Amino acid sequence: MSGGGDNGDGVLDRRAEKRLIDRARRGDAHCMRELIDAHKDRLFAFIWRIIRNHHDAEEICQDAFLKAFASLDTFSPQYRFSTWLFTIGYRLCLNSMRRKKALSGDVDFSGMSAGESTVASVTAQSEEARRLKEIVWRSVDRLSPPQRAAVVLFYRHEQSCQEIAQVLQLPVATVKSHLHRARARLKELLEPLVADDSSRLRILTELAG
Amino acid sequence: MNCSHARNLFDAYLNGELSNALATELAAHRLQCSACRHELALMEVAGHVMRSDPDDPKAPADFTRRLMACIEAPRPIPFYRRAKVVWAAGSMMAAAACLTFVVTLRSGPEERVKGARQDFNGPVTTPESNEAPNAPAADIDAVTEAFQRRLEQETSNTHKAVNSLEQAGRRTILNTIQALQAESPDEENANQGAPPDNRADAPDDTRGAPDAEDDADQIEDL
Repeated sequence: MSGGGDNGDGVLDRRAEKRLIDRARRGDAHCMRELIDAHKDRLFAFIWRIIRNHHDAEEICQDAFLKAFASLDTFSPQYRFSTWLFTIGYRLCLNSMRRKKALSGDVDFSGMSAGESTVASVTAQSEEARRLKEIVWRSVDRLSPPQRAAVVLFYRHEQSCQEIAQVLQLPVATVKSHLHRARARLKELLEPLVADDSSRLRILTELAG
Repeated sequence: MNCSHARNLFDAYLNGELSNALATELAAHRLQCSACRHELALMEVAGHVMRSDPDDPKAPADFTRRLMACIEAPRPIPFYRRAKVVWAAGSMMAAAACLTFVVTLRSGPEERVKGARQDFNGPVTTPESNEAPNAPAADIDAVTEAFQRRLEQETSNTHKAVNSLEQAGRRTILNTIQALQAESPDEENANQGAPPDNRADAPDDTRGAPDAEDDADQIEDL
């Protein structure tokens, strides 16, 4: 089968996706492979942003695909396959964090990224921009899991509040509330870094375009 | 527009849900208010950094291959399914045992005796059958016939012994009932109106039954 439904950035259009899902449901390994290839990087990035551990992210990502394929019969075509996958992935992230919390007592989720460095930059960036990026993502790491998931899905995966609500299985109003609280928290965390440095704020504003 | 009103619109603005008219109002306020400008710029910067970060981690290169190997490998049976299998196997074994028991009960005494002898003592052996391997072919029929006769005789004896044991058991029960009734005449009188079903039927069953001494003899024969 050709990947004719691929729109160029690895995302399938709805019709091609539906065809692949129908065949995967009948056990077509080739179609499963195409679905994995189309979604693995975005799902992995999302899970990694939540869990902040490469090994765990890989394991959860794999489990998410296995669970999705095992229960393809229950998949409703009214949703995007990616939405469904992200929902499963998010649930598995929460389960994994709960397990870790149970094992090690009261765990501060923000500290989960402490041992893992951020992704190595592959693009040429100024020291200033690299530092800014690091500060922002570190601040995101300190949000609660639902806030972090909402922020990552909104900004990183450019999903609407309605789509985020489907992924997180929450009402839209709750998603907006999470986004509001996340922004307030980000502001708290970022404010001290720029309050005393007007030139940095100017740079930030320029960077923001 | 004051700061309080402007801040209430921040989320809708950042979510891209603000109408053009309100967005213009907010932009106008922003130009005049450094605090709101600063706060909004901070949020926009954070959003911009998250949106434009080109360094998202990617799944490992062999992720698909390893995942497909998991999918195509035979799956281990989950615990609850294993329990079901064990339960099903147990049920089938129990059913088979019940069936064997019923078949054994329904089969004649000769089959039971034959089966039991073969199970516990190996093949039935007689003096004739011991000689069979060395006997000439013409004598095989005679040996077989003698063996069958012996078998029929033993089967008949067994049948008689089983019947006599049954009759003896029935007689013992009847005697016990009669003794109990003799000990409590009041109860017997009270039951006189009722049809004496048991007492009427029981003698019929024992009619023609051999004596206890005969039973003993037959048991001896076994």
